[in-house]
Order: sequence, then structure tokens, then C-alpha cells
Amino acid sequence: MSFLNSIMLFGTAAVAVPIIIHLLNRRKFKKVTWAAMKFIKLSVEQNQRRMQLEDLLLLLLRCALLALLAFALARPALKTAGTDVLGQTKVTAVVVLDNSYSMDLRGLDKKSAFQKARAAAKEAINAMPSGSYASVLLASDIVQEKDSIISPTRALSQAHEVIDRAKVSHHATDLYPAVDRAVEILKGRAALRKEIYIITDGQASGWQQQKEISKLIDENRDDIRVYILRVGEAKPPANYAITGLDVSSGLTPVDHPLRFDVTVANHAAQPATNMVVGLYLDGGKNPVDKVMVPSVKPGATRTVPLYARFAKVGYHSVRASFDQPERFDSLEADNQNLLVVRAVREVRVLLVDGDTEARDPREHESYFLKLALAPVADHYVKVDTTTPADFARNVLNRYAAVVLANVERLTPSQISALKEFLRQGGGLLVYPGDRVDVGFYNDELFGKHGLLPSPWGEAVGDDTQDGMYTLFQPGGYEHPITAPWNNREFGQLDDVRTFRHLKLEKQPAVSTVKEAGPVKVVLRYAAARDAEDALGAPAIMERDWGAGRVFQFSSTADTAWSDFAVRASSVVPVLYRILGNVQAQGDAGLNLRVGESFLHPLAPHQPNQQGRVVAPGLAQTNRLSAEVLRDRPVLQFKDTHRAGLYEFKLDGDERATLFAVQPDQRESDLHKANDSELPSAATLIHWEADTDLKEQVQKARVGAEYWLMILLVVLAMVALETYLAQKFSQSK
Amino acid sequence: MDVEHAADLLDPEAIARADALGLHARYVVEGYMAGEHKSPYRGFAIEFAQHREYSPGDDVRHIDWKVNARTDRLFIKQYEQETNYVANILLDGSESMTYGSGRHTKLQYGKMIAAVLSYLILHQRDAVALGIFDEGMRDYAPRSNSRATLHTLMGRLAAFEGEQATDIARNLHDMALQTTRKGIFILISDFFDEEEAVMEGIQHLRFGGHEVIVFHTLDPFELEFPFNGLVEFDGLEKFPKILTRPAEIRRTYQREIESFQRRVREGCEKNGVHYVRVDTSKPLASVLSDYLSFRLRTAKGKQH
Repeated sequence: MSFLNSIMLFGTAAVAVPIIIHLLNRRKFKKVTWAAMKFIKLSVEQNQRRMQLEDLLLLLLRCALLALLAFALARPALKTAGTDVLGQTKVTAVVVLDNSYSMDLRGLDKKSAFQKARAAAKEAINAMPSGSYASVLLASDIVQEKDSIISPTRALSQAHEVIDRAKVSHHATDLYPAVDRAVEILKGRAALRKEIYIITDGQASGWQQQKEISKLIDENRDDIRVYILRVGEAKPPANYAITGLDVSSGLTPVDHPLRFDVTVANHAAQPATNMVVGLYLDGGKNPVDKVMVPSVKPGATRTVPLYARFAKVGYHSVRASFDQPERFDSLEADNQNLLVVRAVREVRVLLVDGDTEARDPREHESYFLKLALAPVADHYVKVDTTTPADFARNVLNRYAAVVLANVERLTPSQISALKEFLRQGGGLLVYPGDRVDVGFYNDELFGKHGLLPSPWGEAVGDDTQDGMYTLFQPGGYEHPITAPWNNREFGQLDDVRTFRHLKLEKQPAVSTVKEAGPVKVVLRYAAARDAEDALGAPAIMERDWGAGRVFQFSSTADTAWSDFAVRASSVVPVLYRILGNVQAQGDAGLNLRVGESFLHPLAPHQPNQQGRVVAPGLAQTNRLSAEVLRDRPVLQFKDTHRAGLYEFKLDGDERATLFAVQPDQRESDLHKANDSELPSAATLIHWEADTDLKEQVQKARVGAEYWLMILLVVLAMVALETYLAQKFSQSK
Repeated sequence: MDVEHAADLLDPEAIARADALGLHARYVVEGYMAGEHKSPYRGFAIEFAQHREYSPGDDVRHIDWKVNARTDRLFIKQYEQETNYVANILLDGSESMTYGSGRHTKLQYGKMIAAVLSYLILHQRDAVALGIFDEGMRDYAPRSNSRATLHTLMGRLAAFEGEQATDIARNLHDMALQTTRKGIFILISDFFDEEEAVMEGIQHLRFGGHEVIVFHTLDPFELEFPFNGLVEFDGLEKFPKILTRPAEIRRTYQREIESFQRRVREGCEKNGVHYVRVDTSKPLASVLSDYLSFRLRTAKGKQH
């Protein structure tokens, strides 16, 4: 016997109430002076025994009545009871409905897995006894709370409506968060029969945290029954996906041919051949470029270049798509990939050179940097060079980025100017050198202002020894700036030799400055062979600061400590991608993954500014109101569960900003989990339209609650008490 | 009750009604007793009233021989009797008599009965002795036939307050021993005492040749026991307290008190004592007139 609401057992203390009332009543009586005492005495003597018995009987009845009431409210239940007396035992269930985009896949019957999942979900709800409670969670790698019923409802028709309205998202599947949430919901409920229905196509990626899910189910198996309802095709069809679309150079000037890298993945069991990928600009129906993808092995990816040119300054949408996708597969969402870029006329960079004393400009600290950024005259990257003394006079907001190359130290006004520049979305690149006052940089720029991602540590290596050098990491690039080098066709970075560098900390202390964002490593040195940590020491690090971003290098901008500056094939794309990244950061993230929020920063004087977003395929306009994030007003749009091109406008400004939401690429791998790979503690049901789900789940519904029965007994006792109290009080 | 309020004891209505019957009262008493017993007044010629012709059966001792000598006819001398009729009124003044649910306590009611009867008796030129007792005789007014005594009696009645426990039997025995001259004993009490002992006392009086009339005085609440809820009964005459729910014992109580009344009545009847039940909620006048009319009827019944 267990109690579903055991706290009410404290209510049994209420048995004391009739006793207390009895005792109190005995102190509350009328006083009568009386002569014929003899006859009262006689009468009492004759009736005393009966009266005491009656009193005791009523007292016991009242105590038992209250105790039973408390007992009923505590909801006693027997988990092993096979029969449900009076049929009052209800079910509380959470229906986890997988709405990842693989659910969109149609089977031979032309029905999508999601259509079947909805039917299965409704049947699961219909199979519950009336008066039961149900939650519906739309689940992918997140729980889509806005479109779910989180708190279990008794209005099962409402659950039906939510299921009817549910749409497939463009999220990947990872069912752990949803199962965890379902368990959490049910744990908070006082119910005997708790059930979770996970309705999914059984895609392997959904069970990537299978161990954690199994553990969760096992830990609660006495309390919660879990059913996995597999819907859709048992074997995955061939699926090909465009999993990547990026601007190779990082920067997007107008009137220049731009290379776009398109990555194609083959998730089918057979090699993929004859796939043609086209590049479309600004919603155009005809591709501006096309390429035939060479054969891709099963499970492999391949990156192909496509070229385009922007004629106008401003936002452009770029779409890479399979030519005639219907020929390849029935999962539409990953047959294309979107990118939004902002085309610019020019990019201005200010180089602050801390070492300009030599007569030969080639010996100046920034010489090679300037060459790398603007190799030819009239290039779209415009570089101005200045000295630390003159730096503050320059109007910084003209520039996309400021580079500090071997600058000894900065004045407080220069630091203020740089901070304001970063707040406006600028980029700052900081190089060390022999003139740099490391203590000043560490104390002021890292410690006090939180500008640098890391303090500079001790010098590593000797710049006078040509034979002793460190290389950059050979692969495993995590940062979006260096990620293209994971594809060897793009080029290589691990031939750069660094003779001397200042150590950057792998995990620097978290800054207390509010505007300082998290720290990331852009590029690492190769890990030493005998090192415990497979990750090498950071070579370049970055952090967001305000709306801008700061990049910190560990070695010099010139060739004094490293030959990076003269390796054009490496340094040029890295610097351009850094500038492109700064530019994208300034554009507040135009390319998001599903579920990521779109943020439009507002100026401090616009706290009441509103905006609107039109989502793909939806006529409805979403209104945005200003909210405060990290102490700054922003407009935030969270409902990015579907991939596509979104349009954002500020109220009072008809100029549109585009942003693209990409589907989660992990979902393209339609590989299904085997039944044996699913949590063994759950009951697996291969659901088809003719499956009798009710029969299958009914068998397992053991356990019964007894509160109603006890309540009926209590009612009977109330009636008996009333009758007896009446009867006993009659004179005898 | 204050002395000044002594006049209250004489309920005017009661006296008015009783007065109407008063002409017959003495006759009633005598006649009743004549039928029942040897007349206690026989042989006491107090005052000559008239002559009447002898008829067979008359006592030859009452023949007026002087008239016979003159007229040669037989005449009988008839006399009017005076003051040889003594009513001993005994009022129970114990603490239990101080209970009263309504306008009067039993004691007050008893005092009124005593007062009215005293008035009537004195009014008829008979003698009254009044005793108020509890454990012992607390106040005793010796017999008197003077109407002036009435004032004294009223004062004594009014001044008395019941405080003690009762011992009816002892007082009856004492009275039986002290009163040699036969008369009427009127006993006003609730009889909350040892019933058998009380009966023995009454028997003692009867044995002494006294006529006994009992006014069994009870409060209506003592008969009905109409209390509800939880009640603590604080006993008069030092009886320990009892906490109970009266509603639940009401019937038993009523049975007990009825049985008690019945025993007293039967005890009285067995001993040739006239029993009158007095309900203190009823007007005194109706109680007395009921009683007196009853006596009248009884007397008539005996006469014919």
C-alpha cells in the first residue's frame, strides 16, 4: 500500500479533534441548583453504562471518520492490484510527439511519419480512461513549449487540438530533453498510473543519449511506464543533404566574384552520383551557378565551390539547392541550404603600428599585415596605418576593425575609444611583440576591462633559433573561422612556423565585466606528442565584447616571431574570415540554426522600439517588443523552429533585414535505431493504423486507488453518526 | 421573604374562593371525621344553642331533665362547639424546598398554603398551631384561636428561610409525642427524605388519633425535568454535584419521580392520610378549592 498524496496522512492527526471537542464540551455546561438530586442520581446510575458506551461509540465513530477522510485524501493505492474497484483509477500520461524534420518523410502510402505519429498520439489519448490527465510535448532536440501542453490537462479534447495543430519543425532529434521533461512532469504528479508515450520514427540520432534515457526510465520504472511507439518506414530511404553553405573568403564585397563552399552529404547506403547543385540569389528561380558533384561515398560529405557576384550593397539571400530534388529523396528540408550575407562596397581597417621607427617600411610591424589585407591598389579592403600616438585622433567608427600590432600600451582615452568602438559592433585584433608591456595588457585590457580573451603568459620558444618552431594544429578546427580548413581541399594551416609566442590560457578566468562575452579558441598550436591534453595551446582566441568582437594573437603580426605573415595562402583567408566574422557579428547573426534566437540590438535611446518578423510560409506577422538582454535593449525573436528565410523590419523603417534559419544538419542522417538499441525498460510498439493500442496498454495498467471507496465508507459513517447521535440524544 | 411582605402569603383569590367554602369547612372537617372515627368533640358542651325533641337513638345523657320535669316531654340540649378543633400546620422548611423554577419556590408556595389555611381556620374560630421544621423544629407557634395571631403567624412564615437538610420523620415523631390532644396535622413538604421513615412518622401521628393531611409540594421542573445540553446539577442539602445530559435520562427520571409520588400517595392512603399533590406552577386558589371541594363532597357522601 502506498499513498499518492502522503502529506495528507498528517491529516490523521485530526482524530484528536473530536476528543478535544469532547473534552472542551465537558468544560462547557449549564449549572442548575437542584433539589431532587436523588432521582437524578438514580437515573444516571441506571443509564451511566449505556451513556458511556454511546459516548464512546460516537467518539470512536467520529475519530474513525476523520482518520478515514485523511486516509482517503492521502489517496491510498495498491500498485499490484489487478482490479480497479469502482473504476476510479485514472491515468496521467505525457505524450512525447517527435516533430523533428525527419518525421516529414513520406512512406510508400504517401503519408508522412508525422501524420501517423499524430494518429498514434490521439489513439494513446483515446485509450486512457475518462477523467485521465494528459500532456503533449512537441519534441525534437528541444521541447517546443509554446506549442505543447506542459501541465497535464483533464480536457483531453485540448490535447487532441494541440496534436492537430502540431507541425514538423526543422530541429534535429534528441529525445533525452523531452523524456527528462516528461519524467519531471510526472514526478510532480500524485497519480498511480503514470505513462509516457514516445512517438517517433526511431531515427538513430534521436537516441544518441540512449544510455541516459535508459537510465532515466530504469530509475523510474516502478512509477512510470514508458511506451515507445515507432511509426513510419522501418528502413530509411536514401537521403542526400546540403549540409553546408559558406562564403569562402569571409568578406562579401560587391562586384567581386565570390566563392561559396557547398557541402553535400550522402546518407544513403549507395554512392551518390550525378547530383547537380545550383546556387540561387535573392529568391531567383534560375541558378547563377551550377556544379555536378563528383561521386560521394555512403556516409561521406563533399564540398564543392560555386561562384556568384553581388551587384548591390545590402542584404542578399543565397540558396544552394539540389537540381530536381524530388529525384533524390522525399525529405525536403535538407535538400537546400540558405545563407544571408550583407554585401559591402568596401571594408576599412585601421592598423596601429607600435614599431615604425625603422626607415625601411618593410621593417615596420604592420607592413606584411597591410599587404595581406590589401594586396593591390584600389582593393575593396582599405587600410589606414597610424602610430599609437596618433591613434586616438582617428575616428574609429569609419572602420570595420582596428589592429593593435606590437603597441606598447594605451592611454585611458584610447581604451575608452576602443570600448565604444566595440560597443558599436567593431572588431579589434591584438598582436603581441617585443615592445608590448605585457603587465599593462594583462592588468588593464584583460583584468580591468575584460577586453582580451586571455592574459598573455610566459614567452615560449626562441626567435633566434630557426630550427625550433611550433606548428598550428593539423585539423579538428572547431571555430567557424577555421572550420573550412577541415576540408583539405581548402588549403592548409599547419605549415606555418611559430618560433616564439606568448602563452594564452586554455581556460582563462571568467571576466566580471558585463559586456565581456564568452571566450573561444579560433586556432591552436599542434599538441606536443607527449602532452596529456590532445588539444594544443591556443594560438588565436576571441571573445565578444559589447556588440563587437576581440581577437587576440599569441605571436607577432610581422615576421619577427613567426612566418605566418608571409604565408599568403594561410594568412589572407584567415584575416579575411576574421574580418567577415566581425562583419557578421556586427550584423547580429544573420544565419541561425533552428531554435537560435534572432537578436537585433537597439541603441540605449530606443527602449520602446518595436519590430516585426515575417516567418517563411506563414502570412502572420510576429510583433517584437524591446527587452533587456545583458543590460542592453534588444529585439528578440525566438520562434525559429522552422528553417527558411525570415524578414525583419523595425517599426518606422521599411528597410528589411533578412536572416536565414538553417535546419539542423544532424537530422539528415535518417539511419534508424534497431529495436535492440532502444531502452529495454520501455515497451516497444510498432504502431500501424490497425494497431489496437488500447488492448496493449490496458494489460499493463495495474494498480488501483481506493480513495473513492473510502470516501463512500466515510459518507456512510457520516449518515450512521447522524442517525446514532440523533438516536442517542433521545431521552430514555 | 421579608416580614413586610407577609401579607403576600395570603393570596386574596385563594382566600376569596376558600372563604366561599369556609362556611362548610368546619362542618366538612367534623362530618368527615364523625363518619370515620369517634368524634373527638363529643361530651364537650361549650355553649348552649337550642333544644330539640328527643328521638330514639339520641344519647340519653343530653336529655334536659329540667325541661322534662316542667313539660313532661323529652328535649335534647344542643350545643355550639368552640375552639376545641386544633389544626397543626407543619411546613417543611428544609433547603430542598427553596428550589423553584418559576415565580415561587416550593417553600414560598408552602408558606402560602400554610398562611391561607391558617387564615381560614382562625376565621372559623378554630385553633392553629404552626411549626416550620427541617432537621429539627425551627420555629413553632403554639396553638391559638385568636384572629390576632394571624399577623404573628404571617410574620414568622415570611421571616423563615430554608438552609438545612431535612428530617421529616423525626419531627413527626416529636410532634406525635408532644401533641396529646387529638387534632388535624397538615403536612406541607416535598418529601425528599427517607420515604419509609416519613411513613413511620405519619403512622405515629395516626396512631395518636390525629387526622393527617399531606400537601405534597413539587415544582413542575421536578416533574418534567425539561433540561437540555450538558448540565451540572448542584445539589441542595449538600448533595454532591452531578454532571449529565438530562435529555438522555429524562424518561428514567420521570419514571422515578412518578414512582416516588405514587409511593408517597399510596403510603398516605394506606395510613388513612389525605394526600394532595401540589404543583407550584398552578394557582394556589385552584389547589385549595380542589381540595376543599373534595372534602365537601366526601363529607356529603358520608352524611347521606
